[in-house]
Amino acid sequence: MNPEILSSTPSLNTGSGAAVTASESIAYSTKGRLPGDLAMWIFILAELTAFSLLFIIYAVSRARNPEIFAAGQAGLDIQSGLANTMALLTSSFFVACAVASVEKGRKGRACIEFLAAIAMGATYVVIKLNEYSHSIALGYDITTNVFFQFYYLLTGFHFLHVILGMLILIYVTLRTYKGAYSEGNIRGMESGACYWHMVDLLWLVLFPLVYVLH
Amino acid sequence: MPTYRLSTILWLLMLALTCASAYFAEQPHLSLTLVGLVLFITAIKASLIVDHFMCLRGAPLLWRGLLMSYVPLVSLIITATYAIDFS
Repeated sequence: MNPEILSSTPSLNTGSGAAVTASESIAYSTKGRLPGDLAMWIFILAELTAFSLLFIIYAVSRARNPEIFAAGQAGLDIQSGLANTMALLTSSFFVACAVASVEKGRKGRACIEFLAAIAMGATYVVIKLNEYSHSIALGYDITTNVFFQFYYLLTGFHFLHVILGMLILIYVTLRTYKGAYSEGNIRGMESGACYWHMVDLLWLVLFPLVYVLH
Repeated sequence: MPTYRLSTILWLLMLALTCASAYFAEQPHLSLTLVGLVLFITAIKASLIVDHFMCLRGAPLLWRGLLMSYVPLVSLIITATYAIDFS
């Protein structure tokens, strides 16, 4: 991913060259514009398309092998899936708060909220790694059957996106700390935030698909 | 951008909906109604994230439409595969 997408470049043009006030920029941010950079949204669409194909292939394969999938899903820990969903939703909540804080000029509060979001992402990583090690210890690896092939492929692919999202959030936090973003200059931060929300959105589909519906 | 209060309410609502989904996982028999209900809950949570956390509520219609329709569309296809399996 091009770091330029996350760099802050002045994006508000008032036409008069006057300084943009916080209230004006907040109004601007909610009216008819795409938050973040177009390049990031094209990237997000590509990611969503790739995952949608995986979801559909998984669902079709489940319909063709219902017993194998039901047995595999019954062996998964629903509590881990639930905890991971809570962690990612909470992380998204903190990111949304951090973006609002920067828009209101509260840099310190935004940094704390971004750090909380990263901590929630790290919680997801720890739970997922524990889940993987537990499954492997029980003898369920990628070669076990078609369900576990999909399980490791889907959740592993998503796991890599969580790691990338956390790196993006760390970068955005550092730039926020340095004061790179301000009320009228937040496109870079919005791009990072929207990527993280996409990671959450994908897990919202993965959770019922893999853990709940069996 | 939603206010802190609205964000907090939406976050708590999504946590509650997630718990409801997990509760359905404990049901002894999976039915098409249950599949539809769980995926409907997922679509509600996704629409809240897209509209409020991603701030696409006031975005150009094309982008908002693409993101808002993503989870419902995928959910419909998944439900169709369950319908074929149950039939």
